[in-house]
Amino acid sequence: MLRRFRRIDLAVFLPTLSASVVGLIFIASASKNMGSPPPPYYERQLLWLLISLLSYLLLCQLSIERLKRLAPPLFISSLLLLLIVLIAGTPYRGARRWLTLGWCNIQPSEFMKVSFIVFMPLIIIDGKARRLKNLLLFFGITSVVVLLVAVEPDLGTSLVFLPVALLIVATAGAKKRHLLLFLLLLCVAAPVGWWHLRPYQKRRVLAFLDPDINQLSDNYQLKQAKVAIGSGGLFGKGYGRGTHNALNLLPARHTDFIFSLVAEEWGFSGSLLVLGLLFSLVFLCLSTAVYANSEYTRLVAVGVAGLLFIQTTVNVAMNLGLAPITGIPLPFLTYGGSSTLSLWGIASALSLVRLNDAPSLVRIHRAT
Amino acid sequence: MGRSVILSFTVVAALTFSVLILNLVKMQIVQFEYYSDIAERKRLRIEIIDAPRGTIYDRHGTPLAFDRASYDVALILSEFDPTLAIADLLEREVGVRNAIGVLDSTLFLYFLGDRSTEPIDCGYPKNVKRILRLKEKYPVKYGALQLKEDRSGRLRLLLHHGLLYHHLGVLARLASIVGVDFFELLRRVEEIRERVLSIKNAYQRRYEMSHPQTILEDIGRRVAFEIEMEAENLAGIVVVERKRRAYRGKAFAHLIGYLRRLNEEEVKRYGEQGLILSRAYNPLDSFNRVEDAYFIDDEVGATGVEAVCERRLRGRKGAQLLEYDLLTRRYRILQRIEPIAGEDVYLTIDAGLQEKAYQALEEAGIVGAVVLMKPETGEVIAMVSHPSYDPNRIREAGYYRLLLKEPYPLLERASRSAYAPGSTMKIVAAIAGLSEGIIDEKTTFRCRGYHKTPKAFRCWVYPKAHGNQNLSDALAHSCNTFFFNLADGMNSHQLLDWFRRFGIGERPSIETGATAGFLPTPQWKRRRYESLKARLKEIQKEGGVSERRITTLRRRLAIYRDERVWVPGDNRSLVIGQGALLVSPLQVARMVAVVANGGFLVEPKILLDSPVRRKKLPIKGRHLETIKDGMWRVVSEKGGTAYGKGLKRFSACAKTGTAEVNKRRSVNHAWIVGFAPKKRPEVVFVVFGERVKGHGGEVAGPIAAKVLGRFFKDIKVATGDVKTIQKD
Repeated sequence: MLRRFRRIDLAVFLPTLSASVVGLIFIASASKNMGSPPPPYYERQLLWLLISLLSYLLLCQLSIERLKRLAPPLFISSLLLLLIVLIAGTPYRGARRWLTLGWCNIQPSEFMKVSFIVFMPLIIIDGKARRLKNLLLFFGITSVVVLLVAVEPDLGTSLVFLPVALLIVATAGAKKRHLLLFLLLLCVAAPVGWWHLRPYQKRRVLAFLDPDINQLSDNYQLKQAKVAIGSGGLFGKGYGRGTHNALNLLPARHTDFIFSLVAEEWGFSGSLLVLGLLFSLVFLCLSTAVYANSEYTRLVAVGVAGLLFIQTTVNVAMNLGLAPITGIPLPFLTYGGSSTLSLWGIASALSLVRLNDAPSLVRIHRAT
Repeated sequence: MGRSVILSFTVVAALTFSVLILNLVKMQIVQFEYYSDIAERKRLRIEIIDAPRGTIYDRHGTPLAFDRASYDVALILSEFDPTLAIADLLEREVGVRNAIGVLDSTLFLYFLGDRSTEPIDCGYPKNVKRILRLKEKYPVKYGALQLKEDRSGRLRLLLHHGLLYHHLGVLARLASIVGVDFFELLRRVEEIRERVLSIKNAYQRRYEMSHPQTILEDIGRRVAFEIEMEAENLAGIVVVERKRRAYRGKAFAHLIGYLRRLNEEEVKRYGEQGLILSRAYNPLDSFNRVEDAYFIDDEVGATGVEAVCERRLRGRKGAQLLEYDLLTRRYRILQRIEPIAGEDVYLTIDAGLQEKAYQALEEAGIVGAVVLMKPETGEVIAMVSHPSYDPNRIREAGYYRLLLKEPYPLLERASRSAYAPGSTMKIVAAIAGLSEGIIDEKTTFRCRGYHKTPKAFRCWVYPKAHGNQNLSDALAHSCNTFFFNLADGMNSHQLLDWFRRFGIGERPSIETGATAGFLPTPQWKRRRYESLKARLKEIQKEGGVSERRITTLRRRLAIYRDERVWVPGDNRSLVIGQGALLVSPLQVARMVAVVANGGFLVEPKILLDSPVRRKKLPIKGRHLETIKDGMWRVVSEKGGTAYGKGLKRFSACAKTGTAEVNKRRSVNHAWIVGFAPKKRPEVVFVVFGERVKGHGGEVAGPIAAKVLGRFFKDIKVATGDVKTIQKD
């Protein structure tokens, strides 16, 4: 039985697990102060993490060829889920982002992330990227995905797909003028998109651009997050002893603002650890991409790098008050089943790529 | 191509990483102290401690205005109204949009008579456990929700909307306990609900939802107790204890005044100084200003002693600086400013006497005033204005509207209103005449019922006559002719100076404020003539004014052309207290006190701890004795203007006054002023009746007798001339 799990890529596994564990213990710290009895975030996250670990171990047993074959059905089912959620999703505060499946809720947009990364490269590998027709197909599908997520509405998540798509296309060797064309289209689409934003979304963007408007709601979050981070100092106030945490001043501190919580309780060392772990994964992906021996694996690696980079940067920048509030989770740390599972799926894709392309570079743990 | 993209991406990622790290270094290391300071302050909270307002007592320690415990009924919306909680649950669990609106419309149907027992199917909830937990914890609140297994074995959420309104039952029960109309109560609840739900700021809304909102004020101890007994059946209803100002009664209303909320202008002014506090949350720096600060719903003195002694009565608020302790998870006190209770204020007023005086006016049905004062010290022991109002009810809108109508109960008639003083001014005139050497005790004038011609300046007995009168006779009979002769012998300066010495036209320095009245002077007369002339000119130039008005103005002016300088007639009007002269009852009391205390102009005072202020006037003692003698004859001798009015037994000296207001209808201001007993006077009294039928002695005399009866019974004086005092 154990022999089946012998292929574990420690370079991916260790930082991923560390980040997940840091997230888990801070979810525990956050929920401790959220009323009595505290909401069972910690227990649920632990369960999801165990499920994710199991699926990681299973997925690592696949071969790249298997992954290539699995990608299209995976993508199509994710797309279907996105459609279903629009119709049958459980509305919550005016948005339909979740599907209720028995005892748990899933967020199809999260699963789309992993499907997107493993499927989209298939459209443009083997030099197909040089032809406009294929690029149109590629961006057509991307737009469908972005729109489906955006109308939920979940603007933050939908916007993650765009840079990832661009990165994949650029790496695949698309012509510069084609890329410029698409960038131009994007610039035209942006104002149109602004029209369709919900008032709260516009407000958030505006609140970021001008901190004087709407002091009490959105900017309040930004301000409290900054104070929490700054007051953490070098080594933090100690685990479970964050004052902003205890006084309930940090909004969404188990989800979007978990970075602020880590920074408050573990200080600069904690934030350095989290950023280090996440960026080490990004750089690992990039080095994998450089040494990849097939175009598909290179594009997957770049996609993973792009996704992790975007999510980490946008989330941390938001915590630091450098970016507007969007519901983009911090990879591996933020509470949420779908997101955790999806991210571990992405991690396993990365592991697969590495095991396939550069086994010599990978320290393989052999279970005996 | 591919590699270069990867490479540039790597560079971008590395740069981003460094930017983020640099920002972290800046915030967590460079600016650590700044943020740490803000975070530390977030742990601190201040709590305001209110200071009780001082009590106002009379001279014997009877409370006249005090804080009494009162009870309000309030409701805590989040506990009272299950629709709010259920609406929230429906929005979260099954995604109903605008659930409150939906639930309210079912309420509407319910009222229209749709009592169908069929529950509303709300679909599958997201989190069954949560609902079960809530139902277990708050069985009443979530009683309208039911989970039911459907054919497939899954739990569906059902809403028994008929059960949603059990709080209406609560309201009905409350209405029956308190004895108010159910629908009136429902309307108030709706108002509160509407207001709270429309609060945009989520934090504040939550605060208001979970804190008591007053629906019924001042329900009385017994009703409060009954509500407490029923508490189990009255979910979300609480009794809130609150201090309320209570007043002894109508007799004291003008004197004591009442409280009011801060007005807009004050709120703005204090707000700018950071002196307006919230009962919920205050910034930390208000800790140092708390002593002088107000709550937005604080009350301050509006009129009377409550307003004058506001600073003393109010005291100073205290505060505690609390710090959240992470270990105990509680707030602990870091620093405390003790509140300083408001000072108690003692008045010179005698409550029993004050009430007796008010009662006497009320029984006689007279609009007017009574002033009783100690002649030596100026302590006002009773100052009453009738009609009055109940300061406990002043906030009721309907009641206040009533006060703005005839006979204007809000008007204070004893010290803040001035009237023609009539013959009471003869006392001043007599002393002026004696002191200036115009007359002496033996000077006699013959009264034929009129002065010079019967047309103007008649004596009040006209067409009868007083015959030969000396000063004492003239005072006893209030003979006008004598005083007209006296007036003709004096120039205006001599006469007006004496009026001023007696405080006529001068503001009494009583703490609660008073009018100066009005003393006409030659300068005033001239000015008035000039201004009338100017107005006529202006009107003629502008045009568009009716011919009649111009004629009227011309006619008025014509009078002044003849008499634009001070004429003997002005002196004569003055000595009999008519014409433009206006004097308040309190000023009259101060004037009479001069005779009673041997020549001192004493300033009336109402606070027991104020210093005595008095000034010796240049009056000879024997002159005062002559006046006293005349005043004694007013009450003691047949033919005296206040004879047989029951004043003699107090050995009172008095002078009556009857100022004509409307000659045709014989409407007068009636006065009686004086002091008792004759030897070593203990009290100065003034009784004034506004626009009454009848003479001063007839109308005001019996009232004065009643009040003096009470005064002497209280202090049980039986010396010398007061032997005749009978027990009431």
